[in-house]
Amino acid sequence: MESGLLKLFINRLEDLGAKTYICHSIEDLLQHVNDLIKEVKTQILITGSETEYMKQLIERLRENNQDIRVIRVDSTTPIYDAELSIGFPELALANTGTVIYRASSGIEEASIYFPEIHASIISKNKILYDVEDLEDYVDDFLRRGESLYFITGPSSTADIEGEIVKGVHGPRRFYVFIINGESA
Amino acid sequence: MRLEEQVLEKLSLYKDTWPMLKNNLRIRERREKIISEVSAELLREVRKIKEESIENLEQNIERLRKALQERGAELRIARDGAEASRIVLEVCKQYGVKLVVKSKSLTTEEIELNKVLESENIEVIETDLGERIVQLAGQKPSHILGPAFHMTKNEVAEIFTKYYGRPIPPDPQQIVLEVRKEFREKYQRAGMAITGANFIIAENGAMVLVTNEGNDRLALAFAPIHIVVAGVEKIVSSTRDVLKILKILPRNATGQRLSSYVSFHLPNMTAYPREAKLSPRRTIYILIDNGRMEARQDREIKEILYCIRCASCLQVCPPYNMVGGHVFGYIYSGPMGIPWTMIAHGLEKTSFSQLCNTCGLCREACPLDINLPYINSIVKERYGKRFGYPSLNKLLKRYERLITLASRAPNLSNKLLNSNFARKVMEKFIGIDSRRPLPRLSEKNLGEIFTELGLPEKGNIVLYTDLLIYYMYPDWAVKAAKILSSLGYRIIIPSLKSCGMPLIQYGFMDDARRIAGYNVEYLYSLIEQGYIVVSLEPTAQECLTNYYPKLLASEKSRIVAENSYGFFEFLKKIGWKEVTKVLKSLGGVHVTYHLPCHSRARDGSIVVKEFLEALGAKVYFKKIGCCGLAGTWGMKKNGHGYDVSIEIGRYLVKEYEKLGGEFIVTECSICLLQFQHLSNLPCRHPLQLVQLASIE
Ligand code: SF4
Ligand code: SF4
Repeated sequence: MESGLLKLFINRLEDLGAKTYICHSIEDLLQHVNDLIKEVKTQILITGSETEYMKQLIERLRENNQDIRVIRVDSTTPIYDAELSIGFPELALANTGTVIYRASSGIEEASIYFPEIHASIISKNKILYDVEDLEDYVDDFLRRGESLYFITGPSSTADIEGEIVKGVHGPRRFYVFIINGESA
Repeated sequence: MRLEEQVLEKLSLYKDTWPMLKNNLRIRERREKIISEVSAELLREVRKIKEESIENLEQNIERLRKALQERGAELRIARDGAEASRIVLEVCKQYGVKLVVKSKSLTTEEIELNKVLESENIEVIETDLGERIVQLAGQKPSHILGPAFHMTKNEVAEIFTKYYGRPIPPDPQQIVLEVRKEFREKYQRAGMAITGANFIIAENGAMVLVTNEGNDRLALAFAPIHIVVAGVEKIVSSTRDVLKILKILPRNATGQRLSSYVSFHLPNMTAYPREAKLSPRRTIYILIDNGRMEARQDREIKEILYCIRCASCLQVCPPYNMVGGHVFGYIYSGPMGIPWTMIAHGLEKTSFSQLCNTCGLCREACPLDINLPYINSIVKERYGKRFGYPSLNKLLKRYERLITLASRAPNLSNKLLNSNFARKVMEKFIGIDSRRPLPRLSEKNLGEIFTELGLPEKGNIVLYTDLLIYYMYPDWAVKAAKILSSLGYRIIIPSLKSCGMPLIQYGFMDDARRIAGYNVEYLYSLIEQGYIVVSLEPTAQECLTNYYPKLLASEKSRIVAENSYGFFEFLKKIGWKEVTKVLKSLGGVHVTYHLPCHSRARDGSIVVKEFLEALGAKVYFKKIGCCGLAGTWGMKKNGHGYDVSIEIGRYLVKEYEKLGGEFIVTECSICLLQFQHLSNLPCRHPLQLVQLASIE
C-alpha cells in the first residue's frame, strides 16, 4: 500500500516535470544535493520546519561549501540572490504530486518561490493520498496561525498560444528528494 | 460598432486560425483525460456546499469579520465597484504607495480598479502573464482564465518589443524569461499587492488562491500591504468545503489534478523586511456586493452565484469560441459572462447574449450544473422587455406560422424558396440569410399520411416529432413508428405545437411558456392513460425534459419530463438485442457520427453511436461540439447568426471529414441541414440508413 503511494507520488511528479530521487540515507541525499549545488554561486536557502535531517544537511553543506552561504531562513534574512532553495515540506499528496509547506512570514514565502531552483526533501511517511485526507491537517495549521502553500510541479503558463512554458514567476526547476526511512 | 459588425470583424480576423477555439480545445483535451476522476456524488456535494454558502452568506460574513479581527485584519464590504476602488485608493494614499502588483483577479477587472489607481498616478502591474499582455495592449481579457487567448505569439512579441524598446522574438519561452526578469525587481519594490481570492473561509479567515504561474505568491511575499478584492459569493463556510471544491476546480479549469500553486493564506503574516525592519503585513479584505445580494433573491438566476469560475463553460461555447470574449462578453465573457454581466454591469450591457444559440453545451460542461442556457434566456427576456427585442428575432418568432402557411401549397412554396429573388426578399423582410439552403417541404405532411400504427402489446407510445419532421421529413417519423410497432408498441402521432425552442432561444419566455403549457397538458393527459412519450427530435426532447419544467415549475411538467424519452434512448431501454432483431444489419457501413447538442440520454451514453454499432456499422466519433446552425439562429442574416454558424460548422466538418466515415450521420434534422450545406460527404439521419428486416 505504502509503496503504491510512493510510486504514485513519483509518477505524478515526473509527469509534472519535476525530478525525483529516493534517498536511503543522509549520504544519499547529500550526493543528490551536491549535484544541484554545482549550479549555485552565492546562496542556498534552507526553509521549512526544522528536523534532524535539516540540521545535518545544513551542517554538512556548510562544511563542504565554504564559498557558498547556506542560510537557514528566518524572518529577517534577505534572500535576493539565492539560486537554490531547499525546503522541508510538512506533507505531500501522492495523487496530485504535491508538496505542502507552512509559513508565517513573507521571507518564508519568498524563499520557496524566488530562487530559480527549488528542491523539497520529504519523508516517505508524510505522503498522503489526496486533498480529502488533508482536512484535519489544514485546519490545525490554520488554527496555529500558519499559512499553507501547496506546490504541484514547476511554475507554468499556457497564456501564449496554449504553449506550456515552465518557470514563469516561481521556480523554473523543481526537485523532490524522498527520504525512505527515518523522518526527514 | 453594432454587435453584428463586431462579429463579422472578429470572424474575418480569426478565420482559419481559430485562436480561441484551439486554445480551448487544448484545455478540453487535457480535461477529458482526467475528468472521470470526479464522481457525480462529489459534484453534488460541491453544489450543495455552494448552495449553503450562498444561503448562509450573512452569517458567514459575520463569522469572517470575527476571524479576521482576531488575526489583525480588516473586512470591508463594498456596495459597488466605486466604493471598493475608493477604499483601495485611500489605503494607497495613506501609505504613499506608488507601485501596486496585482495578481489575476476577475473582480478587480469587474470594478475596473486599474483605471482608478492609474488616474492617481499609481503604477499598476498585472503580474499574471496573460493579464500583463492585455494590460500592455490596452485591451480587456478575452477569456476568464486565458486573458490573451485571442492573440498570436507574433502579436504578443510585438507588444513586448514596443514595451521594452528592443526586439523580443515571438517565442513564448523567451517572452516568459523577459517578463520574469522584469517582475522580480517589481515584486520587491511594490508597496502593495492586490489579489483576488478563489475562496475565503469564514471560520478561520484564510483566503485561498489557486494559480499556475506563482505570481500571486511572489507578489504577496514581498508586499507590506495586501488587499484582497473578491465578490461576497467567494465566502465558504469551512476548510473542508474548500478541499472538496479543490478536487473539481483545477480538473475542470485546466485539466490538472491540482494547479501548480494553491495557498491557504492567513492575514497574520510578517511582511518581508524592508530596510531591515520587520513589521506585520497590513491586510484588508474588500468584499464586493455589486449586484450579488440582489441576485441572491432572484429565483431565476440565483444559481449563477454558485459559479467557481472554472471556465469550463467557455471552453465549449461554440459562438464564443469563434468571436472571443471581446464580442461575446463585456468584462465577464462566454456563457457565464451573460448573467455575471447583468449582475455586475447591468442589463444594458448584455446585448451580446443574442450570440448565445442555446445549444446547452455550457450546462453539460458546468461542474456545478448551473442551468446557464436557461438563465441566459432569462437575461435575453429581460433585455428584450426593457430595451426591445432585436427586430430579426421578433420576425422569426413567427416561424411556426410561416412554415404552416408554406405547407398549404408545398410545391409552390418549394419553387419560391428556390428562387433567388424570393430569397432576397426573405432576407430583407424576414431576415433569413439568402445563402442558407432551406429544407424542402414534403408534398404531404405527417398528419396527412399517418394516424396510428401497431398493437399495444407492450404499450402505447405518443411520438412527438416537432415541426421539421412533421412538414419536411414525415417518412422518418413513419419509419420510426414502424420500428416501434414491430417491437410491440402502438404509436400515435398527435398534433402538438412545435417545441418552442426558437422562442426560448430568443428569450420570448411568455410565448414559450404558453406553448409548453399546451404541450404539457396534452401529453400529461396521454401519460395518465398509460402512454409513453417518445421524441424524435433531440431538441424537442430537451424542451420536454429541461425547459418545460423550468418554464412551468409544475407537477405535470415534471411528470411529462419523467415519462419522455428520446427515440434512440427508448430503443436502448427496450434493448439492443431486441432492436437488432427487427432491423437489417449495417455491417460494412462506415459512418462519422455527430452528437447533437440536445441529445442527452439519461445514462449519459451516446445512444445513437451505440445503436449504429449494435447494427454492425463502423462508427467514427470525435466529440467537438455544436454544428452551429441551432435552428433559426444560424439562418439569421450576416453577423446576426449565419456567418458565425458557418464558421462553427466549417471547423467541425473539416475535422469530421478527416475521420474516415463515408457518411455523416446524426439524429437531429437541423444539424443535418448544416452538414448538407457544408460537407462534401453525404449526410444522413440514422432512420435513413436503417431498414426493417421484415418488410423493406
Ligand atoms: S447555450 Fe451554447 S451558445 Fe449559449 S452560452 Fe451556452 S454554450 Fe454558449
Ligand atoms: S458557470 Fe459553471 S462552468 Fe462556467 S465558470 Fe462558472 S462554474 Fe465554471
